[in-house]
Amino acid sequence: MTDTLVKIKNLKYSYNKKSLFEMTVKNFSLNKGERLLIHGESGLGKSTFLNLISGSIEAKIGNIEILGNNISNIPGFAKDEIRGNHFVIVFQSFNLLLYISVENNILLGLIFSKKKRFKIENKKKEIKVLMKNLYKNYDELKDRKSYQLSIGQQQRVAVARALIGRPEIILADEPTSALDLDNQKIFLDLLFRSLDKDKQGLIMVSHNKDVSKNFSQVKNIKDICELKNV
Amino acid sequence: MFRITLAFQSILNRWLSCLLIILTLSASISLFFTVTRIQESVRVGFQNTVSGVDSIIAARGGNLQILLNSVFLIGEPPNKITWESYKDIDKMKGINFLVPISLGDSHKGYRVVGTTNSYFKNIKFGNKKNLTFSANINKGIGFSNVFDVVIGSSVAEKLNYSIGSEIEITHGLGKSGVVHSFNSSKEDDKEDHEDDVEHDDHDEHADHEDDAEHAHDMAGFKVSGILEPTGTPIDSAVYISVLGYEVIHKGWIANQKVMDISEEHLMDEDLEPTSISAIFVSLKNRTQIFQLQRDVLNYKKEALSAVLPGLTLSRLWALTSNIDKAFKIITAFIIFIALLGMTAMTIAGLNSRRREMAILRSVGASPRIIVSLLLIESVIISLISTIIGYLMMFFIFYFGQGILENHYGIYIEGYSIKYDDVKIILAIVFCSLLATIIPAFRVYRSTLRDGLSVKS
Repeated sequence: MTDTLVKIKNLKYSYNKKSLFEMTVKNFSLNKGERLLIHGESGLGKSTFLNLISGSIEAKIGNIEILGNNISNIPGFAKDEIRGNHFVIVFQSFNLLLYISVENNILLGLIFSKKKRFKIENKKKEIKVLMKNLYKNYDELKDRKSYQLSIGQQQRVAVARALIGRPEIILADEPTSALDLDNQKIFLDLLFRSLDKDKQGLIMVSHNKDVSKNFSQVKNIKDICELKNV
Repeated sequence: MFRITLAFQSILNRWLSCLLIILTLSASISLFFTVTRIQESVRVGFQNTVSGVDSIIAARGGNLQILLNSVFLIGEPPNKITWESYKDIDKMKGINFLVPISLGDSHKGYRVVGTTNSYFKNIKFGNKKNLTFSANINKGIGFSNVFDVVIGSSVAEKLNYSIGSEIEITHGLGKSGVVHSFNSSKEDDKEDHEDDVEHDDHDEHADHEDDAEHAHDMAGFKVSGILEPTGTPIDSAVYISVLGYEVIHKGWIANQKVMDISEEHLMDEDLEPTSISAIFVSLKNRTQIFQLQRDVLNYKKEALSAVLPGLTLSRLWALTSNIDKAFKIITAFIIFIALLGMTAMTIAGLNSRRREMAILRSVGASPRIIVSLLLIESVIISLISTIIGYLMMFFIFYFGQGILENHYGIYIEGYSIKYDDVKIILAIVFCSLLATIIPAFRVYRSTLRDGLSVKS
């Protein structure tokens, strides 16, 4: 089993034929246990980079390998399956479906992945263990609808969903930018504490370099990609 | 299962717009079912009324007119035929039973039918059910006296009649007319006229203009039996014996009373009807029906027709089927418009749901799964709408049945769920899936385009 989680070679991406924006990634890799922070100003394509890795958008030229599998030329549903099985994505905010309960939001992480479900014997127990780490009074929280939570609480639930089923690759798209400094610290501490160093890798993008503590690598988006007509 | 829960909770989250869709859809669906059921009921009602009668013989004329008048008590009565013809037909081969029918009089807007006890014994309604009495002083036989009257259940209920109630028969079918009497006209007549006019809600039973309607006061007619409800025009009829009918028409030529006859004088006479309006015929063997038709056509003494009720009815349906179709198409269009509304609302709501789609995509849901969620939502909405629409139809019939019965003579049968309705429900659900194709296609495209990065 390879230690490389993500490997990109000679990738070229543009939104469509008319678009002048072009992103080129010559070489990029993420290994198990790595925690990479990608920073850079807004609008430089950080989110686009994450979308490419997760297979949500497609580049016409180049290769992306996820856990040794080339996903560049496979059908969309296969990419969705790989994303469901091996990835988790935490957004800046609005990570949760507001109309379902906290517990169901966490379960959502398992619903579209047989592999993740297979890793867990008792779903409810697993959720409880995860959430106990993240929030003291979980029992009081679990049946609440997500819109009843504060942004900070919502982000913690998002972390729990990220970790359930132990996906190998965690992508975080500005997960702290909606939080105040205290909550940023709590959120990142929780995230790092819950990561399995031997199996999981993390890529987080942020326009704010101040959160770089605890990351194993910190890179500017410009160091990873060549960008044209931004 | 989780997908269904998810779809359901998503609907609850957008409850107001979904409620509006459901209300529009269910209203149009209930309209469709109501119209369809009324159409069916009219047909079934007609079919049920002629159960067990193989042929109707009357003076030669339009088959439809004979059928409508003699069985359904609608329209102008046919010309009379002689009692002699009745006796001759009775002698024909293969006759099981005959029921004579005399028409042309009314009581407070309800049609009066002169007949014999054979009517109550032999005439069947619905699925070959016998007529039964809810009250009767003659032990179930109908008439034992010339002046006995049997009334249908609606007549008893609306006019508040019971056994022993005295009634008077009006000559002609109008709201006002001359009451049959044996003495010269009385002062009471005027009161009778006024009384009759009050009952104008029964004018469908008396759709004739009173060119020569006359009223006669018949002291002797008394209610001797009340029939159980049948859900057919029988409920709105007043039955007297053919002899009673004969008695009150003594001294009348056409619509004119030419002489007064005393009751005693009448009873002294050897009573036998002189003419009747129609004869219901039942054959021992239905295959002899064409033989009977031939015999009746070849009958020399007067010109007669033998009408086949089933055939005549199917001709009537052939005439009305285009109107039926037009109604159905209009109501189907209303459902179609409601479905268009659903499509419009779904599309309008999609933009605000892009974040929802992105979250689902981030946890591994493929665009196909997201499209399937949208389709499940539309199935849920259309199923709820059809169920509510169906219940609304029952609700409409529960409160409207009385009006339909009294004003239009339409009897809605039961509240059962019909197999055809299930097919229609499935068709509506299928159409709602079709209506979701455009929004689903847009979702498919936008989820592919947006990826995971919807910032809204």
